[in-house]
Amino acid sequence: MAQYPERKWYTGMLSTEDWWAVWIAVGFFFISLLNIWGIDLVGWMTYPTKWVFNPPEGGKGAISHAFYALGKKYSVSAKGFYKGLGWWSVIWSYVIFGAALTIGAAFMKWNLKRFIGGFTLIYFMTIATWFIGHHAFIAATKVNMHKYGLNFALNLGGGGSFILALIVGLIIGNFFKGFAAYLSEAAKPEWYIKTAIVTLGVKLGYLPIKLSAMSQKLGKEAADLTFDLFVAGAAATVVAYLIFWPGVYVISRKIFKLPRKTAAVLGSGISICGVSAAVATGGAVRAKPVVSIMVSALVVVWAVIELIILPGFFTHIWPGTKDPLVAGASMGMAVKTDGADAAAGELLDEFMRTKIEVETNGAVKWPEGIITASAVMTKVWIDMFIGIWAFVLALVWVYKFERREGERVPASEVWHRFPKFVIGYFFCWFFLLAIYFGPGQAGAPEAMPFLKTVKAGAVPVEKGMRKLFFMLTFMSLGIITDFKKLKEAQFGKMIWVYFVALFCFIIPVAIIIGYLFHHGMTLPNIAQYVK
Amino acid sequence: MAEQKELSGTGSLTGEALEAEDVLAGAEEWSSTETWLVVGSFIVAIVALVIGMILVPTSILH
Amino acid sequence: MVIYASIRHDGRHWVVENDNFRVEGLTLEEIDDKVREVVRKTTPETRGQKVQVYMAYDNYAIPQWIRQYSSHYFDRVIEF
Repeated sequence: MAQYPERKWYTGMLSTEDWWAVWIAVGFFFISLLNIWGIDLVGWMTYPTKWVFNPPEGGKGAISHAFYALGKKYSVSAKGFYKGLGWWSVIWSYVIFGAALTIGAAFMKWNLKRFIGGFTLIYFMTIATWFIGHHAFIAATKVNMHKYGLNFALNLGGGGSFILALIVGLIIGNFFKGFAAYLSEAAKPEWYIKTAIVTLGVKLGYLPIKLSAMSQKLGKEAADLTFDLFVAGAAATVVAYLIFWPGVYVISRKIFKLPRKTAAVLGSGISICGVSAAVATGGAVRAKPVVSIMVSALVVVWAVIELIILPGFFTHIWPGTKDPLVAGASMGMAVKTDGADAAAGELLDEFMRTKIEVETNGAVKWPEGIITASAVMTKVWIDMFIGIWAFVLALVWVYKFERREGERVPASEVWHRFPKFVIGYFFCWFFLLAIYFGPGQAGAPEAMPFLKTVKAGAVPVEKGMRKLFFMLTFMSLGIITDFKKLKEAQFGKMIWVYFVALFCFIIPVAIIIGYLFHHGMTLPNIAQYVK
Repeated sequence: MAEQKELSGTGSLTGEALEAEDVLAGAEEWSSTETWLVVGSFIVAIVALVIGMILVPTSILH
Repeated sequence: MVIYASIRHDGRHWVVENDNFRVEGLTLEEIDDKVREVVRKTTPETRGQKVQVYMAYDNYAIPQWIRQYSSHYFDRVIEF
């Protein structure tokens, strides 16, 4: 019976996207740490900068410098080499990231020919939108537009590129469905975002190191702030979920008269973590997979609608720059799926940082990534919590509602449903924190040369790799989102349950709970330390 | 199990092939177990909220 | 004694199978009854013993686009 082995704790380590997000991101993280010993193997990671067709004399923005290898700025041991890469860094990144992802795809037994073809097209379309989105007219702010010879700019920061990537993806997904189907083997937003979230762990661990270079006090503040987000996010999500789930369940059962299992799956799907929760709950209540599949199809479409609406709402209507972390945490609790949430958090991060800079005329600048982290933190907690909640539901359904003779619920289900990429996220974060508090001496001046070598490795991963994988997420999310799915008659009732539950219940409760736990948290101002 | 081949390229189930009727229809009577589940969940949420607000240093109580 | 098998839903039936047997049923109750019967029949050494059948959900039966979100549906265990 070798063909049907028991599912072990390590089953899936080489065959699921969840684990491959860990292997790829943690792999590059470890390679980046070689910088401590003077070996820079990550400086090739590409990054865009703002450009214009005709840069002013002595100003910035030449097209020839629109993409550069991050080692050019941050490498300690190979700055000269990486400086020479320029636009070639785009190709280097394609080949190396493409190879890493293809190895993962091979282990997951995907169609490699289609994956490589799809990834190649998605990668270069992503680079093209990243490039266009960094035209200074789109990305510059009124604070820095004069450097590019402009008198007007859209003030979108890096958010413009994300929006463009999503629009391009949505156009393909909705109007070129044959092409979208071809790309589907490589259009994996959830894989890309899980990889990006692990690199966000690198970002969180690197933040105190980065800010220590400005002042030791700021570095410690950053370490404290990330820990506060960790604790507040945990409390907020547990409370939110235990209010969301029964609320949506009652709405589905009492108002829309849905059967128990469908209501339970909808309760989880709408409540926070979307597809993964819908699948986990569907399995827990022993529903036919059709229930989870239908709910999932709805979730991915609604999640993109939330992604389009909420970052702008939180930035420009409420709470604005007064409470950026309330907005981030609420986003994590309101937007379904890791991909759409992290993408919305990143967009919010870009919008908020650009807005505060414009509002204060450059007197206040926030470090990038903290608002994204607040949105992801709540999501990561709920991803873990759903495994426990699904186990509770399985106990209720198997032992109370259905009571089939001899059936029991194995406790190993909690582990099998545990989101493994979270391990990579926390690992990278705590590993860098250990470096910061250990050999980094909490940012003491005498440890700065050492921390600079850590930085040379961390920046390409937390900045170059993370942003690229976010861009790939936006593009892929658009490609797999077919709005026509909402029109399909069989979803009619569910669409309305979703609409009512989301806008009348989930989003308001998310905002209230986000406010209760995050109100008044402030971001460090780094304006005096950066250009 | 893990070594089995793909059943039909993209999984054996697709949205089009599914019968949705029994997913949306046939609601059971509301039972006392559901009341217990829903109310229990709300109660745990409120307890977690109170404890969380007291313990979490960034909550509005601090 | 533990017997391992896979379980999946094909859109209409639940299907449980391993190298020795394959059963189909519209409901899980039906599946469980058939599994009990077929295990006793195909594996004589289980007679008089307590048997546990561990049914791991076959992820390949979940649409590929969903698998990236969650790679685990459920594992069922029945004892008799």
